[in-house]
Amino acid sequence: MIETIFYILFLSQILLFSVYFPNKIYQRMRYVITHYPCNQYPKLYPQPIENYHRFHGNYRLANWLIAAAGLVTLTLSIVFNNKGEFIEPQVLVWLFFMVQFMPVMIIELSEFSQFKMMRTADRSSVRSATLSPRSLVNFIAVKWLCVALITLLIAIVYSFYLEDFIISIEGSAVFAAGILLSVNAFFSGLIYWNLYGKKLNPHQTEADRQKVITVAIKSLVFISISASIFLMVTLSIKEYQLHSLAPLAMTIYLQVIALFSLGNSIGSIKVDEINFDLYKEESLL
Amino acid sequence: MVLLKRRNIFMEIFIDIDNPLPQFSQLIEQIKLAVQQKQIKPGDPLPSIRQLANDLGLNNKTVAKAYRLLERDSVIQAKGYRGSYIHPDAEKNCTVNLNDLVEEKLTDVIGMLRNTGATDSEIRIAFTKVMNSDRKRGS
Repeated sequence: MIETIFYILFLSQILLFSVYFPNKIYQRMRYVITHYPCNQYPKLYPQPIENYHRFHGNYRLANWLIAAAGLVTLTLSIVFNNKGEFIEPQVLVWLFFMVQFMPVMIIELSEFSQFKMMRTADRSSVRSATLSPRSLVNFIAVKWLCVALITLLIAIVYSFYLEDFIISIEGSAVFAAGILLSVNAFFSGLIYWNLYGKKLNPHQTEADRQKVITVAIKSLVFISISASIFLMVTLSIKEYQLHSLAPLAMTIYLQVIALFSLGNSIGSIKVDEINFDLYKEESLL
Repeated sequence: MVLLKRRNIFMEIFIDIDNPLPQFSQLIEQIKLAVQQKQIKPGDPLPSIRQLANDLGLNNKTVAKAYRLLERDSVIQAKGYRGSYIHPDAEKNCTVNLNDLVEEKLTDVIGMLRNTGATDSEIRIAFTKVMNSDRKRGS
């Protein structure tokens, strides 16, 4: 029964991360290139247009191949009834997730590269900024920050509770707390960078930038909450010998991350609400 | 070129890096103009030096200098870690231009000194001497 649920959830992970979301992203990319073409919006395309077509095609192909590999892996797991003889199911889920995440990473890196090229190509000597200060609480409700902090503290306390509050370098509690604190420190750095870092896209309006910052901050805070809860679940599974639930927990957690990050981004930032007029050749300030 | 636009709800300023007017001067001008046009009001917070510098792609020191001079002219108030805010008397103080005052006073003094028969060269040497001695006293 648990195995069946796991296979269904793993299938869901394959479809969500390698079919559904990539398809949405691909449609957005094609929508932009179709409705805001290079000859009318030259500032949006610092590279030759063929590069974008090729990138879109490669992105779609890569995701299809990963989805196919996922289905093959799933089929083999079912056929050979993998219970950890070849590879632990939760490790398999995690490794496959890493592969699924690669196209997302490539998109993120290409975005940095795109913005850099836009900055280089930007001939305008005029730079703009808002006189409104940006503060964390402008972008996310205080209650969610409190929830993130509280779940983090509960997760750390729970991990030490399972070891009878014995603080030992060799114990897993210190390791777990260290990982969780490091992850949250990293997220805090990302949030700070989003709020106060350099403007990457030279043509982006303040309104669009605020939308992007809101999505980024909310994603990071919700992922932090998920990570804390996942840690408690993982430690409980280990403590109460519920190893058969480990793969389920892993795939559910990864799908939750996908929903909070990609899902939130795609759902919150509608392409037709972005101001593309600034990418025209003679855009007026 | 002084540009000031309200786009949607965001009070935006624009800096022209090719403008011969120094960047910190452009910043000062635009913030003062925003106050005079009531685009920002006394008590309104301003972005941090880091935020404004990163948004405009300027050095932190340029923005810091603009903020320092605005604070000197009582157009803004620095409240430590809480950041900078528009001064309660900013509207009145925006019209005071210290550079104009310096030029006006210097014109009077130089005119007076020329009337006494001092040459321009003597005036320049004396001016430099006074400036340097004041600087040494200050340090």
